[in-house]
Amino acid sequence: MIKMEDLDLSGFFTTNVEAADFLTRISAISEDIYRTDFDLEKALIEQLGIRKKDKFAILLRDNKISQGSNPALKDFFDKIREKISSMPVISLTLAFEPGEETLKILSDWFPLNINRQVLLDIKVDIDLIAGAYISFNGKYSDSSVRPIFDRTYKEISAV
Amino acid sequence: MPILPFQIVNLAADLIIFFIAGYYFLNFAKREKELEEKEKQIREKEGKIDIDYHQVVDNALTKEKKIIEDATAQAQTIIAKTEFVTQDSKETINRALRQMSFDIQKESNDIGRKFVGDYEIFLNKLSTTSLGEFQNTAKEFGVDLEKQIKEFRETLLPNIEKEIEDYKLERFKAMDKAVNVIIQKVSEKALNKSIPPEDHNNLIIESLERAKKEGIFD
Repeated sequence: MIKMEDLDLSGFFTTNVEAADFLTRISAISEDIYRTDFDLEKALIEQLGIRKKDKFAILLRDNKISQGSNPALKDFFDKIREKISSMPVISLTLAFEPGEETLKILSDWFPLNINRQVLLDIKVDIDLIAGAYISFNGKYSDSSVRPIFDRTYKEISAV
Repeated sequence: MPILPFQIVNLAADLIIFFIAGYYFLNFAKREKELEEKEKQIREKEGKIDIDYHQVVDNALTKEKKIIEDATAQAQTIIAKTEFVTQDSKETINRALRQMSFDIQKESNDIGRKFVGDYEIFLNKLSTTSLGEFQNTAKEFGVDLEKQIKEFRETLLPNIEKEIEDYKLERFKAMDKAVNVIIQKVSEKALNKSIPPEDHNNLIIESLERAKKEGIFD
């Protein structure tokens, strides 16, 4: 029996938008499982691409899911859907459009520091100048450079 | 068989036939005579009727001719009279128009002459009186103007100068504010762009660390 918390989906998505896309693709594969001409490898390549197909194969192996067992695969896909639906969403406002490198850093930070994978709802506001504005479950933290800049600017203007 | 009675009867019968034939002959002659008489009478009547008819027609034609002749004569008289009246009217109207034209021309000449005369008099009066009045008015106007200028310098001018000064100060303040906003925005953008991607990432990680310490993720 696979435990939900043991299912590590990092590397497949970081943001809630990416997670929604991943969910759609997984659902498409899951629907075709009982077709007579179903080929898992081919379906994974079509839906996820070669790089993520290999990662998904490792995920199956790590969770001891036989690629030849359609009921086991079906159950595994359902678990993935359940896991994604239960993941917490953290709202993150940045001062720039994050690239892959930044997303990777963010994706790695959460499992390492709060021991769980999260979905990031990323917004961009260049007025923040730098840093980030973070909110989660009604709590927020403004660690952007904006307040520091305003304070400094006022001091300079007063002089 | 005895022959005599037979002969007598035969003779009597022949006589009867003879009398009957004679009677009819006479009667026929009489009738013919009567018919001839009637025919004669009818012809006489027809002749009389024919004569009467012709007489009536002749009378009618004569009357008609007379009526037409009378009507023609009357019409000619009317036309002649009408022409006379028309001609007469034309002449009367022409005469009246000529008289009116003459009168109007005469009247307009008189009025024109009178108007020119009046206008000349009016202009003469006006030029003599206006010049004097104008000089007076100009003098009064000069005095008033001088007074107003003096008032303006003493009261209004200082107020206006103060209002201008206030307005200048307000405008300078608004300009300063606008310049500050521009400098601020430019600084923000310049600073945002001047920070290298690594520093941006480090600042984000620092933000996450701080949020963790603040218990945001608990």
